[in-house]
Amino acid sequence: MKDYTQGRTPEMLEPFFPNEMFRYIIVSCFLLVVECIAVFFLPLPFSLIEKPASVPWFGLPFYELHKYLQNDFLLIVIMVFCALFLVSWPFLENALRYNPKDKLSLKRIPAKMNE
Amino acid sequence: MDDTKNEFNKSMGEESSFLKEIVEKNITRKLIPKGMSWFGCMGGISLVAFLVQTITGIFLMFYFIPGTKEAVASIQHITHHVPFGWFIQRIHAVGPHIMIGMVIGHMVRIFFKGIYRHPRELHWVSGSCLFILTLLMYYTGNLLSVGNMHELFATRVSYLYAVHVAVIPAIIGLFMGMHFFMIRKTGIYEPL
Repeated sequence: MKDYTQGRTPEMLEPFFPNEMFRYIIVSCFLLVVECIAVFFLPLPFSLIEKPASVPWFGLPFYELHKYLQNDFLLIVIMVFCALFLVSWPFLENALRYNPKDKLSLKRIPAKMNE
Repeated sequence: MDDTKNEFNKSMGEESSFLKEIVEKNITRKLIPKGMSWFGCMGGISLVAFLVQTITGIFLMFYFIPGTKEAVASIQHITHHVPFGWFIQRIHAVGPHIMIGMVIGHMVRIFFKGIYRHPRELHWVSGSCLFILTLLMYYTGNLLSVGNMHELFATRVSYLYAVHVAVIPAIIGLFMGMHFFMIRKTGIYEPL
């Protein structure tokens, strides 16, 4: 397990319990309230956008693409490629930034470099 | 007799001190860096949303019948005749939208802050696999309620049901275990 106390003074640290636990309890309650509001106040056929009821809001890009392509197989191939692209993004980014002339680029990009 | 009793008490004492040590190490005496963002809780909310889906899903399993003709009728029975069935069913239907929204929010934050970079590439891989599995979970669940109206899925409701309640959750559990183990190992993203 990662030890956060290393290299830090006590002023830079806070206890996980109750501080962080309290934060998680608050956001969990917020989530439950949002779900209850959605259950009680959203009408059943809830649709802000003109689309078939079976297409969820997060499936709209693929639904629009399907309208243009009119080919199920091609749509599935595109979806699989999108999934692979998403999963392998950190490695693709490393490969894209690789510059053989620059010795520094041989190192993997750490998370803090872009901050 | 007394010796056995003493041994039993000793072993119980050892077990309770072991548990106490685990609780102290991971919860009560654990220290974390100050100034953690509230938005950092979005991964945790996604887990809570998943747990809500699991609990409501288990309740629905008692009444749902995965048959070609019975599926829609059983959902109607849950909604109209089972006490608080409408509430459980609606939570299970609305929850995925909120859960997927939270997961997307979590991923967007990770992406724009560049937290997925070294040494956390595998966190991104396991997290994005979890996202894809969540979408598949939504897709199969959606087909269970409307699928038997679609001719393609008319005879396959039981297969879809097995995939929805057993196969995908098992894979999700595996990836979640990986995701949490790696987070514990490398630690949460530390603010600069």
